[in-house]
Amino acid sequence: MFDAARLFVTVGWYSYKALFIWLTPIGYVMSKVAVPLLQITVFALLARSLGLEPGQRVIGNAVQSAALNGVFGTMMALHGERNFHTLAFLIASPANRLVTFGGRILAHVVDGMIVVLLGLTFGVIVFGLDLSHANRVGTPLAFAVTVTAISGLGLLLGSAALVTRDILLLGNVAYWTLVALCGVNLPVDQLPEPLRMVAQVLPLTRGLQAVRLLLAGGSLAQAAPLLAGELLVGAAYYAAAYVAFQAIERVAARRATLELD
Amino acid sequence: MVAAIECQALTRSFRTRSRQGPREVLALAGLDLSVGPGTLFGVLGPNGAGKTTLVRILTTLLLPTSGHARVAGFDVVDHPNRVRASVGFTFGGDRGLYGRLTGRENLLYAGALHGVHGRDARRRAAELLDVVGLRESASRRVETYSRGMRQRLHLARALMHRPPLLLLDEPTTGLDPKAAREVRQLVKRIQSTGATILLTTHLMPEAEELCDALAVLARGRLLAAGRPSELKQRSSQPTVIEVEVETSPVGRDAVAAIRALDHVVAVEVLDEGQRQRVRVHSSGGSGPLLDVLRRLELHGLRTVNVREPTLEDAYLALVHG
Amino acid sequence: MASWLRAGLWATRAQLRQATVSAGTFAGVAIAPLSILIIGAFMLPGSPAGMARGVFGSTLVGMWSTVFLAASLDISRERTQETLPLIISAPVPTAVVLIGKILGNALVSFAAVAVVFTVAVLAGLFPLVVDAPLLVSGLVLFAVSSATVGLLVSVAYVVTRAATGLGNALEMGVWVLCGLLYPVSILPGPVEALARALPMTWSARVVYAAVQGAEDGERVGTPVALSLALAAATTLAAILLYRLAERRWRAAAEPHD
Repeated sequence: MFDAARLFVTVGWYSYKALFIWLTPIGYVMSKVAVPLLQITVFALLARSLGLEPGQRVIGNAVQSAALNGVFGTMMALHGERNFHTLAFLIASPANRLVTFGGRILAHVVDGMIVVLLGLTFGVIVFGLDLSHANRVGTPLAFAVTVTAISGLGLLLGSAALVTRDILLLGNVAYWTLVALCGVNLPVDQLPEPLRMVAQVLPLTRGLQAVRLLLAGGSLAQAAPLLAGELLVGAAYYAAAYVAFQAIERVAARRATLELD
Repeated sequence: MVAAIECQALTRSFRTRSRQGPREVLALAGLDLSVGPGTLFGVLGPNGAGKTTLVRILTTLLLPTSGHARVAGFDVVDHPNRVRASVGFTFGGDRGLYGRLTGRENLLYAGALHGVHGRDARRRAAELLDVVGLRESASRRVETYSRGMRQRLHLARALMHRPPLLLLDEPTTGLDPKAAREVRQLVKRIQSTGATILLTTHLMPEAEELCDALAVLARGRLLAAGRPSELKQRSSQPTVIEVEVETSPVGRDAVAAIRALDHVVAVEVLDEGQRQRVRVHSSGGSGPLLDVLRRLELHGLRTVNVREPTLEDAYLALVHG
Repeated sequence: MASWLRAGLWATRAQLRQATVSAGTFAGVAIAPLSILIIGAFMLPGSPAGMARGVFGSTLVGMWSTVFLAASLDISRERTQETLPLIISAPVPTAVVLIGKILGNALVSFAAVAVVFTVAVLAGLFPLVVDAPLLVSGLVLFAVSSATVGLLVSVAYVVTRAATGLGNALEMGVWVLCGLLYPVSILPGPVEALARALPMTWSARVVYAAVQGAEDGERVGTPVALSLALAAATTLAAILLYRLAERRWRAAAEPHD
């Protein structure tokens, strides 16, 4: 158990360091800071121009922008292994797959939480967001649960990154589906029924509700069912990712498709 | 008659950065060169000699640091557009073509950029695709072409606007022997139409096979220029005349008589069982051959071989001293 | 002149081919506008303004994102695939080739129009349009404006490394600034001033004027003229910057054999 935990952390750190794709500080700032803040601004102003309250959109987009790490970060980590031709060494190692691939998400979860905090700070300064009643214990927990659940989706999509080059498409579909359907910019019940059903099986939907509840001063007990639901959804994605990795590894080994250029 | 290419004290330096700090690299150091029209002129040299730099200046892609270069009488700095209309070039390799366009489209686009349009362009493209053997592949995207096919398409593209001067920078590098031979044959065919061609290469057999005249560059300077046969004389290697005789021994008198001939530098007699081989080193090419044969004919001549110094010998002597 | 026109059209054609990426990559770019379509349409149910923002805002976002994908790395790509020497050494003025590229990228952006309009019509979300010819003109203006800015970005990328770091932020920055989803009058003063200096801001106004009527009762000729003038200025800036870059390449370059 201890060895697995150590492997989890070690792999996570080295993977993050080795495949850190932002080559310059300005690139990092633009991708991790500017893009989320611009996204928040666009939708907050859209709401305001329609006579709607921007604050909830600020919260929604701030939390959702953690998907930059959770989805893209995780996917790119795996895709990067393929690009650098290090995948073979990884697959050929005896290390537990769930631990080695799961370890990768740890750094992205932490990174993602920082992005959420930055977004909310921006919301306070620019849009006058009032967070004075926020539940100080429950809110960070809700961030962590939500970002972790989103990373499960990223891990599942990352398994596809082992065999396909069109990962930009996958990542964009996941990212923008979360923006549209998970209550980020409009209440889920305002969506047509088919889209509402999709929202129920996505990470972020329940987690975001919990975050809003806790930021408005709600108790952890009130948010607990939502967080439990979010954890369950996240766990389902992790399980699916594990099964997908095993299956893809077997198929790829048979068809020699693992290191396709 | 205006020279096709004329360089006077042509100099080009670059600033490079290294751990020791920035430094100046002299890629061309006061090059004087003249190429007559209709010539197939080769430029030989090791890596870093300045061959590609020279070609890039002549194509107006690079500005000289000092000195002059003229193409068909037009200065490359003062009249770049006149030069561009007169020159076709290839840098070879896998790049330099639009992979998403077909072979034909690459030619038509290049033609459009050089003022060749409409029916004339289509006819010219078809003609060139035939010449370079790409007619069957003309409608395929270039990204599906092999390296050899791309190189032939490069040549075709350089010729779309019928330039009087063609600059080919190492046109057969990286090609397999068959593809390389095809390119060389194409180059000869192009020259037969009257075009002037300047070709850079470090392949001696290619230079010897193709070129009317050669220049040898090293470290940005011109070491020698002339016909291949003239350059071979610069070799430090003598001509070797080797005669195998039927009956031995070849007497000392015969050996002494051969050694006394003009241009004979050394004589060796090699015993091979029943027969002997007489090896004569001559500084005068194969001039002494008949006299050597006369002095050995009493022994019965079995085989005669003459090994001339090669261009490679001359090149090595010039470049590496 | 005819020769230049033909060369320019060939440059457009080559650019169309170069810019036509795989269906997968395009879909990746189209997904954001579709997401915005859903948000705009259902954010304020029954609101014509919301519907207009959803449909036309997402269209404009899609057009700009498509141009950004096609145009921003264009000059860098010509460099790495070593086709830049062909353009530099051609007797045809470089401006002709660059304008050809602008047209090619503008045409590519209409793929986004096709996708968003099709989905909106099928989903029954397409709002009534007050002035259809004006809408088409506005979309064409927007396509051309976006392409001129895309080219300027492309040249800036090869002139200065700092520009490359801007990446996605530059793409989204236009969403924020150019009134694609809301009127620029709600932006703070200095930011609004910056927005008004971009050609896309004015062409977006033309599009919304066709759908909702002109803003503040202004004559539609004003945003049309400003969009054209700023697009021309951006094109000129791109050409001048490119010539500066070309001169630097020819003077500096890297050591060769």
